[in-house]
Amino acid sequence: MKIKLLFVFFILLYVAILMKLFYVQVISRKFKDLNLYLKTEKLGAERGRIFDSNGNPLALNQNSYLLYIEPKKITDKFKLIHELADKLKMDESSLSAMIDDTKVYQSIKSGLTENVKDDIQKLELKGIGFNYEMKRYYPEASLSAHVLGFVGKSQDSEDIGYFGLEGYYDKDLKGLPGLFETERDINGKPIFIGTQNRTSAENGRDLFLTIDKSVEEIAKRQLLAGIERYKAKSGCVIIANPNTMAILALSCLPDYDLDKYYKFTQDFFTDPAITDVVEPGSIFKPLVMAAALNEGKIRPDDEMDETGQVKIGSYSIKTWDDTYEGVISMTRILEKSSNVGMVYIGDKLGNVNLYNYLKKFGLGEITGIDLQGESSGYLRPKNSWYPIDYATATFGQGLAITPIQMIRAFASLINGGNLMRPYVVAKMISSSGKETNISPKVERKVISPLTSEIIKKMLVSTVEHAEVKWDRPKGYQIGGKTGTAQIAISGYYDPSKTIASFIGFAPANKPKFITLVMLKEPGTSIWGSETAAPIFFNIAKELIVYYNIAPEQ
Amino acid sequence: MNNIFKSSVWLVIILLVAANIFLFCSSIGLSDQISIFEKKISVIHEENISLETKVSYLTSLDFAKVKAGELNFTTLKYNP
Repeated sequence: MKIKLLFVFFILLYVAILMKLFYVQVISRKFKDLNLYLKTEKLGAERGRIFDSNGNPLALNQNSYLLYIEPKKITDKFKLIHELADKLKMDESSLSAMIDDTKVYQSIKSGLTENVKDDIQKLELKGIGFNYEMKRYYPEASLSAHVLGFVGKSQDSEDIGYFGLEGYYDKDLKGLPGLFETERDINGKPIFIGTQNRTSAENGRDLFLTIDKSVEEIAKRQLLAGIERYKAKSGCVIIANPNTMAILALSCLPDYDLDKYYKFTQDFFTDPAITDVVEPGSIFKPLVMAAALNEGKIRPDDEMDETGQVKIGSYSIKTWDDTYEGVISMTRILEKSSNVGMVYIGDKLGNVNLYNYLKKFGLGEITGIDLQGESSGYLRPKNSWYPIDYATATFGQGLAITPIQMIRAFASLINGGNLMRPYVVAKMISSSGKETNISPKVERKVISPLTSEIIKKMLVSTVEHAEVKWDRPKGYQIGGKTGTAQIAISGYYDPSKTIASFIGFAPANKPKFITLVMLKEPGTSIWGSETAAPIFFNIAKELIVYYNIAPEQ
Repeated sequence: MNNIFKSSVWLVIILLVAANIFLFCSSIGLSDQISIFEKKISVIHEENISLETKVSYLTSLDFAKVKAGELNFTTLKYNP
């Protein structure tokens, strides 16, 4: 009888347990959608890295730690504040004000390095801990600041790329986070026979650039030296392969420290090479010359009579030094950078053709370079052009163009006539190893290969017979053109404030590189021939050695 | 015959209980190992990132510039 009673007791006990379980797992709202054992963890994707054309890292990820405190577990608050403030380089009062004893968890400071973390851990303080996070690291510091951009925080405190490549390729670099669902016991250890679902994170794609770290260093070093020597306000150097418009180097100064971007204003972040709209000045002349040659309106050995100033309505157009040589060839117009000669060529070309070629050369449209923040410049509608506008456009005044538009258009003169889309990323590799190659893209044909050969020779002659004698690399044919554009302030040109520029290429037969140097408001001389040109030739000398280019002459 | 059947049932029950206990203990052990390997993976990942950072700095032009500066090989000083 006793055994039967015991049996009934156990049966009732089991029934009670089953009923409770049924209530908890099926009926109760409180527990209905809650799996007490199932932990879901977000697996962060690693941001893609950025390498130069030789595989040298330009942007990597580094370990970083977030320091948090658990106020309820702090045993000696005074000691903790004193020691932490010292290690974190914070005021004790600020740190003390941050700690709220009623809270269970508080984050104190993120972005701590391993060294700082190790130093704090050695203090063996109670009530603190670290969360792992990743931070961007730029081994070459600000070498390619404007090209790379930086990684900041979004409104949701998530990493997001701003400016340059970090901004343009943010979605590719960011990757996709994963999820890890696992049943854990009360100690947080996984239950082996429980649910274990893992959707792996897909790390961001690695970018391999057309930028060459060594060429970038040459460009930046020479630009820095030039800005200091000529006391310029700012400057830019763009070096590209003229046949593909693969950007080899792009450097503008002043730039900013990528690791401490928050110490700079937004003016430093925008890349002047793709956002600044400037008047090109005389470096624009070869484009108009090429247009007239291409249309068969002139030939290189044609002559014109340069007698004096040219009147357009109430305006007078003169040469830069107001001297006139009489009968001169078309090539000589470029050599002496004659505004009067260019007005003659513009007249031969015709206003309709001139406007059409400005459009064909890409003025007023973005180049499509894969960097964030490019501006399109500005090409006024045809119906708002006056005769004086057509005249000044022939020598690069009254036009609004970005440096990248200028170098792209100029490259089309020497590569057989192809207007290319400039690009910075040559290849992307996903975390699974899938490669995506980015090929050069021809936007359109602007001039014929024959015209391209003719204008190349004219540009070589322009360098060789220029009025200023430069220290050029011996044995090499180099083509190029100087430019000096006055800066318009409140509708008037200030003759003392100029944008001095030089655009050139080498070697002339098969150009390996094209380089644009632009200086804003040089102080020692306003002329591009005396400021930007020497910087170009210094860069050219180094590039000729770097690319191991054999002498032609 | 009946005895043989009863003994077999008991034997099977004992074997099943033993197997259950063994599996339970093994799963605890394996769970521990999963935890240990998770931590190891995390540590190795951090070490890997740390080493990559160190190597990239040592091969950087920035490092070369610092060394050149220490050896007075350069006069250009630019700090944005």
